[in-house]
Amino acid sequence: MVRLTRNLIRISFLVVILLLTATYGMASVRTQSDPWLAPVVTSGELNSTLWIKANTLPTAHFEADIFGGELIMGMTTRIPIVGGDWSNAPDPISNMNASQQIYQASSASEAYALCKQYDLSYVFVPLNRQVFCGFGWISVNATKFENSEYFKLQYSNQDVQIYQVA
Amino acid sequence: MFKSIKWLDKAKIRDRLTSLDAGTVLRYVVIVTLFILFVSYRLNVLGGYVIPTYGNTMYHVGIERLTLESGHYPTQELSYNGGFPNFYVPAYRLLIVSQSAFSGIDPMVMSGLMTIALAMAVFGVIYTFSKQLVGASAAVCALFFLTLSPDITIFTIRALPELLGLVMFPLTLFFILKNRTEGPFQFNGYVALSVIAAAVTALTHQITLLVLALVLAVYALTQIKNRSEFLKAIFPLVAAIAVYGLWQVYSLHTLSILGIAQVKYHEGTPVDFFASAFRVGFFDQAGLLVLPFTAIGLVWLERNKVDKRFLLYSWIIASLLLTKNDLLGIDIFMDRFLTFFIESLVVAGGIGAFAVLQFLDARVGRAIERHPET
Repeated sequence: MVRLTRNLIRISFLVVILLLTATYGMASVRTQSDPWLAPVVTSGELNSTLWIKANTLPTAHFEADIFGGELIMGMTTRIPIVGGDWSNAPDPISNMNASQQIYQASSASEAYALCKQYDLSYVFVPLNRQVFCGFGWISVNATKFENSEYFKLQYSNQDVQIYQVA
Repeated sequence: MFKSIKWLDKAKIRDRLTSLDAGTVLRYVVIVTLFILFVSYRLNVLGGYVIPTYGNTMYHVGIERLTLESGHYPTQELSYNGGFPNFYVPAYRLLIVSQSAFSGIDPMVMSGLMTIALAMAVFGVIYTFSKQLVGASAAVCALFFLTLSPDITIFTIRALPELLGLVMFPLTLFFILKNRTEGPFQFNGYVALSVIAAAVTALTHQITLLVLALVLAVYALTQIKNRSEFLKAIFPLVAAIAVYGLWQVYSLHTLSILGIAQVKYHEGTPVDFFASAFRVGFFDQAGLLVLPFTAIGLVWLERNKVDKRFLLYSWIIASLLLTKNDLLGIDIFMDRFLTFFIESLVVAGGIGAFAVLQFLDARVGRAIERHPET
């Protein structure tokens, strides 16, 4: 009888603890962890990597932000201006500055000159999210890429445009 | 051949199942419940069109894809416009590559699958380590803190080398813990396993390697008068450092890490008790309960003079030192070292919770015996 009572108390205690864990405990974990599950990149950007893989040289270099660049690296092994491991990069801060300036510049010629300076063959332009080149989230000034003297549209879907640097 | 494998012996399994007492059954129920909670959240890793991308996850997929396509591990980077030597160690990536090559599954999807598998391995290794140190009930309590730790959750839902590090590092310590031979030092199977695990850790993740090296160094210092235990720490320590040194000389042609961006630009965020604009909050990352239970756990370990408790003390001290390295003027990766500090507190907190439960259980038992009619 004593043993049974003791086990019933143990069971009741553990049931209460497990219920609290499953409800309040896991809710707290979710609040903290859910943001880290975010894909950041859009489904259209992911789809565009099929085109990149099929239509660009394996050695092609891309203007992209860190998340776009890592998506391009991951799905196609093409080389972005930023993203990945900066440990041993010769001048990663300069790459971040250049990437951000290409997206933010209002002048197509300025963006084009930077692309040439960094040997970039394509520009990856996300349409439905901000970009992060290392210094905070910024909006893309995309209209300058429509200047066909400097950039030629090669691929587009609802989420992304890919331009070839002329 | 199979006769020698005890767990395949049906008669023994039947005996074991029929001889289970209520406490053991309860323990299994709690383990299974916590495991379901732990794994069910991690299944979200495969819930989207792409794996979670925070933490350079797709960069690792890129190196894995290139390895699969070219048939060799690249020596040059794809990152930051490429064309410079690869600093990263290869073990995690080669694990994904091998699984992808074996199964034919795309490395991006395989990274997600392996994230869930490695998270399960973290669950298993924390249980195994805690059980070896104190016992099964304390290990179950440690799993409770593991499941409810925001920081451990954040680092077990992303396809990162650090996730493999969170498995390999405590596994290395487990082999040292399990090696309970008395008397003169013997180079036995557990020493060999600790050396192999340390070498794999060294090739998995540099931050994990630093934690492992400092923990082993601190433990060796605490065991300076016990030659056998001292050598049990020194062998894997030397193996880890030597293997990493060889890899870095092969990849970067230097042993120095002073030139890397993380050191040059002091990558990392300081850790304080509570979060602020420029600081990571310890209690936000670890949860509120783990610290008080850790204090109880440490008192219990010391009062009971638990064998090899200094291994856990070394883990706590070394990872805390690394987490607060900004106070020493180093100022690198404080928030990343925090994960290993929290992992040690999960074990210590589990021991504390076990001590509290043991105390309450004894009180309840005495009360029932005094008043059996109630």
